[in-house]
Amino acid sequence: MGDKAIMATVWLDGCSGCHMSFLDIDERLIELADLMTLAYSPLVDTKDFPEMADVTLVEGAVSSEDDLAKIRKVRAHTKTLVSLGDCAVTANVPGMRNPFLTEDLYDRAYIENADANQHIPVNVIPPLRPNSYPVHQVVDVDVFVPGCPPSADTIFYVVSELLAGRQPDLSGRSRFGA
Amino acid sequence: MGRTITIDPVTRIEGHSKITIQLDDSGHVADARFHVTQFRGFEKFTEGRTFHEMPSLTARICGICPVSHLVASAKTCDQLMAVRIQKRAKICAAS
Repeated sequence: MGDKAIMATVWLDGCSGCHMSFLDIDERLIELADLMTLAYSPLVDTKDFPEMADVTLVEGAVSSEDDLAKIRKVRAHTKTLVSLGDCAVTANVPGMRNPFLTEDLYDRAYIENADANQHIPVNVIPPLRPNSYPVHQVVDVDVFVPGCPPSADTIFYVVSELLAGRQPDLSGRSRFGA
Repeated sequence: MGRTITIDPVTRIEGHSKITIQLDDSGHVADARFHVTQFRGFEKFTEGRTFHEMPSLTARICGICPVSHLVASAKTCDQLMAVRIQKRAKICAAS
């Protein structure tokens, strides 16, 4: 560990595509590994969030009570919080459910479309909030990285800059949807 | 009733899940469940949208396997349009 930065990544309501783009950094991950320790992430087995992460990348929108509890905890234990990708920045695809009532969404998926065992798995799915929110609607966000997903080059640039103590300049490097 | 072992979250998979393993009094596995703990409502919110949005939207179901969703959706769109796809395009789509 030593003086390496502590980094974490979390996914809320997303598709994991941004994390795949993070992995697409490929061999440059080794460069990053010299600078930071990935202390918590869906990509590693650690179950507990570190006491204080220097940088946390957040993928996904805030859709459920679990997402809300998780992002509040992450925010309290993170110095620089990065909204990674369009779902985190705008709610994007998860936000497309917002015009609908939650009951109608459940009915369509678990009752009308179900060939067997029609019931809403209330004890399995964390309760959904009425709407899906971008991360900055519920906690403060320090860096916004749009893209669906942001390219590996963009993510590498953002993480490298932050680990070097600089604020990344994203102009021209990423845009919504691409 | 014995104890319950909970693995939450399950890591190194796409998506959100947990596993609960229910043990009986003698410590043997009585029941094991894999819980998928994410719900976005694609089944509903895609209704009424234009068909040519669907390959892009369904690809966002999963960022690890977007291609399978995209190709399945594109093939459905082909059928919807009742168009004959050229052999070369079919080969490209299937690859």
